[in-house]
Amino acid sequence: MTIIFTEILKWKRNKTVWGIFILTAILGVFAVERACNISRSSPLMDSFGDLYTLAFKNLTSLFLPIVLGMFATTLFFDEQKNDTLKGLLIIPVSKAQLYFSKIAVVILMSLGLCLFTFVICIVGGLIAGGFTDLNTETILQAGLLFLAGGALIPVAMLPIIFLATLSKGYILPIGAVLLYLVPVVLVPSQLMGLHPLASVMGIYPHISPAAIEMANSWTGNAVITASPMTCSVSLLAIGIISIIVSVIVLQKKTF
Amino acid sequence: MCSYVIETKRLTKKYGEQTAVNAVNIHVEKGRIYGLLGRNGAGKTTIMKMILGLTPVTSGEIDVLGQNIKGREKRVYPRIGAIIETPGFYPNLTGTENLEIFAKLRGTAAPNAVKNALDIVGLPYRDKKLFSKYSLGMKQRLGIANAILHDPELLILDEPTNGLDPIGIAVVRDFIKDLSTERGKTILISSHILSEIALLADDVGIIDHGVLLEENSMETLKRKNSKYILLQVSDIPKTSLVLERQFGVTDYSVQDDHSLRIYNTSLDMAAVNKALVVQDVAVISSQLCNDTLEDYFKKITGGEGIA
Repeated sequence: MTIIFTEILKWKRNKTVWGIFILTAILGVFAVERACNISRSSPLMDSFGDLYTLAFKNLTSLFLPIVLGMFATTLFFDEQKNDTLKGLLIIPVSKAQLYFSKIAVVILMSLGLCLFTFVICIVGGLIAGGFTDLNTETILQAGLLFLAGGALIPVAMLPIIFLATLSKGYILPIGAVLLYLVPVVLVPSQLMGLHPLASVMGIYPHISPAAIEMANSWTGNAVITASPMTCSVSLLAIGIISIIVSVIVLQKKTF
Repeated sequence: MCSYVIETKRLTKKYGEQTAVNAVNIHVEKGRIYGLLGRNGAGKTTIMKMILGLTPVTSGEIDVLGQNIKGREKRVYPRIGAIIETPGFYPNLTGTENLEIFAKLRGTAAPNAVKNALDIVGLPYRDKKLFSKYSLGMKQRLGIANAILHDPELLILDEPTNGLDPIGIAVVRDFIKDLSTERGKTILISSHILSEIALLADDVGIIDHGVLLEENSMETLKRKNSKYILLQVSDIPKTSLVLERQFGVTDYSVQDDHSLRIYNTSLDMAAVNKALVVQDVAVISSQLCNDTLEDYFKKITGGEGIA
């Protein structure tokens, strides 16, 4: 816990974190703005589920994976750039401890952004008004969806974090984030069970009923053949492999 | 028997075919300052990195604080404070905040550890100045504060005066000297600056191209390089006889077939010359020499010497 706490302390006065939260707020506000401008009689915004899935989609489809990829790269690379890594290793903090603490910070960042958007949705739902289903049950469903997104997307980004541990600069992992996203944007349904980010999309409809409609719009109403179990196992397997190879790479790295 | 705080046995580091450190045996005694002296790229930092586990050892052994460090890093490293190359800190944090992070990670129990460490190096506690705004001298001092934060028994300082102005060098040198004399710390320090090592170290290891050329106390080295009379003659055995029998000189050394060094510089050389001529020894030259440590290092490293 101490090492995770110190990881958070390192971000004090860092403008990047503020920038990320401001951009997240803007994405949430976009969804609320749509809720304010679309009539409740339209099927596009006739339930609170439409609002929170729109905000969720805005956050998690591209923005969150890109932000987490860049954030993780910065976490690993800055220790080398600032020459602090050597100081940490001779304390000694093990490379595995260092890796897991940074993963924990990435997960916390992801959960923080999802929680922030979740709060924006509730407040936005109340401001926009007219959502007859805005109650404890739908709020809980929304909370679960945001919690799942916040926890699963960092797991889906572990292969990119592996590249961040491997490389000696920003360019490779950040370039890889973009390449990693392209197939998911193009053919998400075919990649469920294979590509971690697509697999995460395959899990959402089983967490919140409103997410079924969101997944359909994501996949262009394509038939999803991969079961949630396949998606979960695949996601977990790729995540574990990424963790193992990342720790091995870090152990072999000399400073 | 000497208790070595650091002892390396045939320590070797190879990068592919290139040997960076070659079978180095260094012996750092408790409570002393050991200066590792060598040119840039001689292998000083690599030795320190191997001691601190930052780079793997190709072959050889390292004993630190009486223990072989392999597999005992978690027990040994908390007893060491170190600066390797430039001290690294988080630029968006103040000096105090940076030290608080390292103190937390070390589990430093003393409540005033950060304040005390900053006091020792003369940096303000709870100052608002960010590390990114620090001068090089302040950065080095913060690096030393971090190294002594947990009151370690051993300090490993890699070129701690690098890049400092003359006043900064003097200040850092005084800190280091005080840490040894007043706080009893054992210090392994590296430098490519001979005068720095000469002013600081009790013992010196001279390294060149990864090979430890000499390891000796500074006192011995200084004695080796005192004033002497260089005498060049036609017959060394006869000269030795004259020196010993007629002048009672025993403190001399034969350099080669025609020259010797007499360390008693108060000797009446006119009388010596006269006695040698009487014994049919031709005196080619006789001169008073004063070799500096730098001359000595030049000679043993076979090159340009060290600044």
